[in-house]
Amino acid sequence: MYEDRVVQGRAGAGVLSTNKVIRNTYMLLSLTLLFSAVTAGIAMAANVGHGAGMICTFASLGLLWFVLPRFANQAAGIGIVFGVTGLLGFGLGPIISTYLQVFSNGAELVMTALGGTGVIFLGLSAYALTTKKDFSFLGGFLFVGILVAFLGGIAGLLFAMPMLNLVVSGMFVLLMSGMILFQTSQIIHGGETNYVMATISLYIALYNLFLSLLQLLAAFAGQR
Amino acid sequence: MNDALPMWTQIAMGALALIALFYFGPKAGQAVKQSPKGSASDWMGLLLPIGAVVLFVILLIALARG
Repeated sequence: MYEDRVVQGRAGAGVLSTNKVIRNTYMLLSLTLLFSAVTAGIAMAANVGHGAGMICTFASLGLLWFVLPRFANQAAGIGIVFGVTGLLGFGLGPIISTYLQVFSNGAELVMTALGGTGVIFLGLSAYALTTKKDFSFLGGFLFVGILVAFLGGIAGLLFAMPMLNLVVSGMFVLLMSGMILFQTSQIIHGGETNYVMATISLYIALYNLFLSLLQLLAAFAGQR
Repeated sequence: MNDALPMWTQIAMGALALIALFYFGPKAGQAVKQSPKGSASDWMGLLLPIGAVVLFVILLIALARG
């Protein structure tokens, strides 16, 4: 009987810890999304060019790949997350401005992509949280898939291949959906206990999902 | 090459691709080896949400086309 209580106590502590990670992750994710929206708005209002936007995006990748992993377990990690998301948001400003200028229904495309991203994120998160399925088997597949899609995206831009860009956008929608399921499942099952890393993974998934949806919508429903 | 992109952007993108390939390439191999293998039912369980996403994206495109 005593052992039962000990086991239940440990299980209860595990659930509490998981709930704390989920709460902190969603709180930080909300704040970073708001911060990105502000920096994107500033970039749009200041009419920042694509060059500056691209430099911000490259800088954010440098922070994300090489700096954040070293500080993920320290308080400074939160500041770096805001640095990464702020820079990515700033880089997004000129891209959104271009869609608004090039397409007569640009505002509708941007809002549809934004709403679609929100619905997909909420739906997939709810699915992972309620079914409690373990999607840890997706880890290796997602890593390789994202690397291939990332390289494909760069090749599509460098060699001006619009069809390849569309295929990559489609791939990213599926891969980022898988990423949301994987990351949420990792938090639930205790595979991810660091809310800073969980937040940045979900943020990157949302960022790529939004951009990919926007590109698909513009390609199939954009009116010039 | 895409002439619409400035030269510095092309060089930076090429460098980014090389960094991604050589820095993350070996890590991707390790991730595949260390990742648990999913059973057929695990992959089938993935089909439902991913299929729903595909249908939803098609719906969004249809709505945007009007």
